[in-house]
Amino acid sequence: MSMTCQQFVEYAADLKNHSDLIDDGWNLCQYQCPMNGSLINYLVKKKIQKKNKSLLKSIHSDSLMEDKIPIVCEYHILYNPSYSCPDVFFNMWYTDGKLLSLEHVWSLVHSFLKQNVVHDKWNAITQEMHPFSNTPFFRLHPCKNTHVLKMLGFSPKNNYKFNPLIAWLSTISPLIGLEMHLSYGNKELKS
Amino acid sequence: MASLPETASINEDYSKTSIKDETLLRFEPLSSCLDPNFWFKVCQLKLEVDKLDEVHRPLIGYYTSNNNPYMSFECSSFNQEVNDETVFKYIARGYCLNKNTIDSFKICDKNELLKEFGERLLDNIRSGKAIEDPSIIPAFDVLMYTDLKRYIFYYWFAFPSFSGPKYCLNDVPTLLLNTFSPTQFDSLVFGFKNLKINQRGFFGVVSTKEGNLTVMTLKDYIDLLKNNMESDSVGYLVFADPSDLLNNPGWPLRNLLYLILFHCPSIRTSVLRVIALRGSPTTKFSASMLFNIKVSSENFLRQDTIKFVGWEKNAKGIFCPKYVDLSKTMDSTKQAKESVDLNLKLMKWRIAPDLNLDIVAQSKCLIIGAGTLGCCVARNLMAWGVRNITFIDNGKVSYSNPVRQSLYRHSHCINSNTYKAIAAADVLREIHPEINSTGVVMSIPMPGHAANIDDHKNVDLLSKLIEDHDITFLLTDSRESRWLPTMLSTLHNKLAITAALGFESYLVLRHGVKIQDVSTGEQKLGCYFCNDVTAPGNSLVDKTLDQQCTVTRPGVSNIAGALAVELFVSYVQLKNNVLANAKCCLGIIPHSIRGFISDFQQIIPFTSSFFQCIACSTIVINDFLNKKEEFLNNVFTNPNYLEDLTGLTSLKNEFENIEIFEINDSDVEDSGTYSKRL
Repeated sequence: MSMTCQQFVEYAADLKNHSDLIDDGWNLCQYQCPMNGSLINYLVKKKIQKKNKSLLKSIHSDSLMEDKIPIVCEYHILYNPSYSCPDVFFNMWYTDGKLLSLEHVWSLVHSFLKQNVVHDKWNAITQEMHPFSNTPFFRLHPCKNTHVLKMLGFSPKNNYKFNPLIAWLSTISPLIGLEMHLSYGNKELKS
Repeated sequence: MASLPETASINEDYSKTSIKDETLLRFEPLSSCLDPNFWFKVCQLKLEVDKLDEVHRPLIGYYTSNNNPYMSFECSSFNQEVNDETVFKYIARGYCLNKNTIDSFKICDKNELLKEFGERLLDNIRSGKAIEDPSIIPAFDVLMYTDLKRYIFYYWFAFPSFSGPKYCLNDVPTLLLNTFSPTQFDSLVFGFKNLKINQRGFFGVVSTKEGNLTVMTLKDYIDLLKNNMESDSVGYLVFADPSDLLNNPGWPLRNLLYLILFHCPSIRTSVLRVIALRGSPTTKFSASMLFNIKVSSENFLRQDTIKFVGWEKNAKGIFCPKYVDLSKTMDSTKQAKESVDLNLKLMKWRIAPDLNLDIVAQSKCLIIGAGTLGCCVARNLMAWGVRNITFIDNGKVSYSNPVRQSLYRHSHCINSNTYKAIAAADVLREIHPEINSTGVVMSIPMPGHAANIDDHKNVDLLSKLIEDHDITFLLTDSRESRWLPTMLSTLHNKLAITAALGFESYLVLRHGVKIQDVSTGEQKLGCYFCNDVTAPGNSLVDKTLDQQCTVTRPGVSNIAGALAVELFVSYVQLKNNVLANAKCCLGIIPHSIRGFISDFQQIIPFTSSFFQCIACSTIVINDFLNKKEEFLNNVFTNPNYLEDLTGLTSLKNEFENIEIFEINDSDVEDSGTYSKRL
């Protein structure tokens, strides 16, 4: 149940096209691999979201007048060659450049999922070095991404009406505080 | 002279009354939004380039027209060229001033500074530089002080603008969709995309004769306005609007209006049609608004009345610098600590939720013998998050060591100058700066090795060290060197773990500690010496060189060292009276582990303590407590003293008299290494 790199690039382009239609801010970026000079495609989205300050119990929150504080959220969707699946890296920071701690990231997880995340250990968000920028990023462990794809009925040989990358991303999006527009669900995959 | 302020106040009153009937135009201010990598770059530049210079360093800010009243800064903001030619972002050019001291940051006159920023903007507008390159219209300046040792940053952004004139809305702002046809939107987007990135923030559009639109640069549009003699304005002035408020345009318009009024005096009396670009080119800026703006007070061009505004408010809404402590992300030491802890916590989340990592981290570990085993144990302890490690060793690093003893390098051996204990402690800190590691250069007093002048002093020192630590690892290469630490750890009732190596076999054993509750009937588990009915003598005497050194298959020490640490981690999960093969969240806690590499087998036997043991029996402990000096003298000089004391001598004599058993040589093999199959 794995996705080839070529499929990933196609699905990513399709996701980006829809994002353009609704101004969702996804961009296709390229990273030049320093080992062999090959170009690696990945999706990037950066967005300032207002989050409830009650979720962020920190020095930042009690100094604010408003109930909501702006949080910069950055998402990178890469292709993971070892797991043959998409791989999400993300970071969140205050507008002064201070990164949110893992605890705060956890607290931003969609409230109804929180119980599950605490108990379902596979959901664990971890902090790792980003493979390209070599700075700390949060990450959903990729080993379960293939399981999610499998649960969604994905197999690399089948032809799909829907875009499996979108199906996967919308499944995990509540875990990483990513809001996805409903119109992603209406669209069919252009082949 | 006195009449001047009066006139001004009359004018002000006049303007107040005149705008009563109209809606005063308010601009939504910009806020700064910094990427973590912005601060990395700030540090690098201050350390490597600027050093003690307080220069105004050019900086590029990015903003969007997607409901985001923020100007963003990242590490690429310090580049002079814009690499990312994306159509979603607009650029602004400003300056960064990094002060050398917190005092000069605090003391400098902020009003004077804002005036300086504003006058630079005014010059750019007057000279027409801002018309050529409109990216300097949304001007900004940041004043900062960076504490590079503690990674604390004080900073204050200013988006300088002119406090006057006042503008008002001629009518209610409307969606541009109501005015423009879809074809006109298409040509707007087409023209927009053909503009250079620095021209996209501010430009003009005019209608063609066919009813279509032409996009032109700000310079061309201003030239057009200048030549326009009619009272009505021509076409539309367009700016990329970061505002997220329906009826308020964003801050960049404020400077743009000033620029237009300065260069085109003719339109000061007419209504200016301004398009606020909102959305992105992919959605054809469908959220754009149309503002019809006119000037409500006029005398703004007099140099002496120009006042500037634009300091950013902090999170509390006060005009005051911001402060951010980034030590957690930027201090490499703290970062290493965080990642090590996080990695360990992963075990809790996934596999062993009840795992007590704190007790492991807090344990103070004493490692006796900084050789192959000592290095391996230290590395594994560190991997488990242990913070306090002390090494005891009296040797120096020799040329044969580094290949097997993982903490040493060839450089440690040169001139044979480095003590192992010191080198090991140093290297641990090199690997993980948060480690509190110490090296004690000391030889362990051994029974039968004759008296050393320092022996008594060293006994006290060792006793103190064992008392001050939670666990002692006995990793020396001779049997007799384990005797004193075994006895002392029994005395202080501290856990001790022994690892001993044969050529292709190993033993890892935890020494029994006192059972608190006698009622359970459980016996204390044995120590390293409990199963051995000989007192340790000088095992190095009469030995060939290969027998004196520990000659082992290299993997054996890694296996044994790792097992010793895993045994310790499992052990501390349970609080007291850990019986043989007791169960914890990580599995069972054996008493001893014996492994044989020749056939890759491992067994976990357990034994009780022996009441006549020469190291942990009550007789020995009491003799040490009661007459320490005499006891130690006896032990060090007379090899048979301990056997006599514990009654082993008479026991052996009994055996000899019975003459039933055949004694196999290998059963009494010394040096503590179990090289033969048991």
